[in-house]
Amino acid sequence: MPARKIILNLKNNTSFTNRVSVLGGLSDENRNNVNASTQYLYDIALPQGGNPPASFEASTSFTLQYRNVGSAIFLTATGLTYGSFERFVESLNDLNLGIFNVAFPNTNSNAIVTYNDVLEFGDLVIN
Amino acid sequence: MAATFPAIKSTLAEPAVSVTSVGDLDYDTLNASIGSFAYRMENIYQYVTNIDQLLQPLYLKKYNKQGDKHVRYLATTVDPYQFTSALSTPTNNLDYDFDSNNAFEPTLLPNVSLDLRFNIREMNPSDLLTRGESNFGDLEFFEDYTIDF
Repeated sequence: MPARKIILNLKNNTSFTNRVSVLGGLSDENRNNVNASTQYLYDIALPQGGNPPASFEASTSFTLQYRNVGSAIFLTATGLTYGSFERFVESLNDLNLGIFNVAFPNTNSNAIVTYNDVLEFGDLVIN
Repeated sequence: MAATFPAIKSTLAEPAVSVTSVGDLDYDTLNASIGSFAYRMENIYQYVTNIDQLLQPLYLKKYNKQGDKHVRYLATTVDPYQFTSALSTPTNNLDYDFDSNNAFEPTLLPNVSLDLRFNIREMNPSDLLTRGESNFGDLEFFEDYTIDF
């Protein structure tokens, strides 16, 4: 008998607003965000390791390191920042490495957060 | 000057966003069936105790055969004086299917549990065969088939 309904319960267990992709099938690159317990957070508005805060007005591109969990070598994905934080986030999401959400861990910080148990992320470089 | 930001990695005690299916199939199996089966979405029913969650946007992404992406922003509304906890949104006019070329992306507020019920119509390739034959039993069915991609 054909199915008549699909019932899902979605529960956000974090203190951030998150967007997820559901029912996209196995070809959906963003499906790995669902039911993932490993969090990757980039606190990009605060200096990290002595680097200056990211200035998106002067930036042109970014690179993001990623690899399959267990792999030894990081691969690099590259995108354009288009000179603004919002366009940078859109560009990051166009990489098809999962959905990256904007998070605000504290009052003076912009952060990017994603969840993934299949891919592992390394450094984010804003040029 | 380039700025480098290392990932702050942490392992959570439970999934950040958990999705479970209420029914005979668990979510992973249901998700894997999409493509072999397609589900025409006819209605979305949302239940949540947080009224702000009902106002969060739903993104319906469609990809055509050229790979172009079309994003439909499904805005919802509720009467703030009714203390509504559920919302039913007809989607018949959207022609939206769960068929592996699309993605359904709800936005979840922090620490919110959202119940979604999709009224669907299940479709599979054998629906094109109307006389009870199988895909492999009647090859003449494909005589007039035109490849348009």
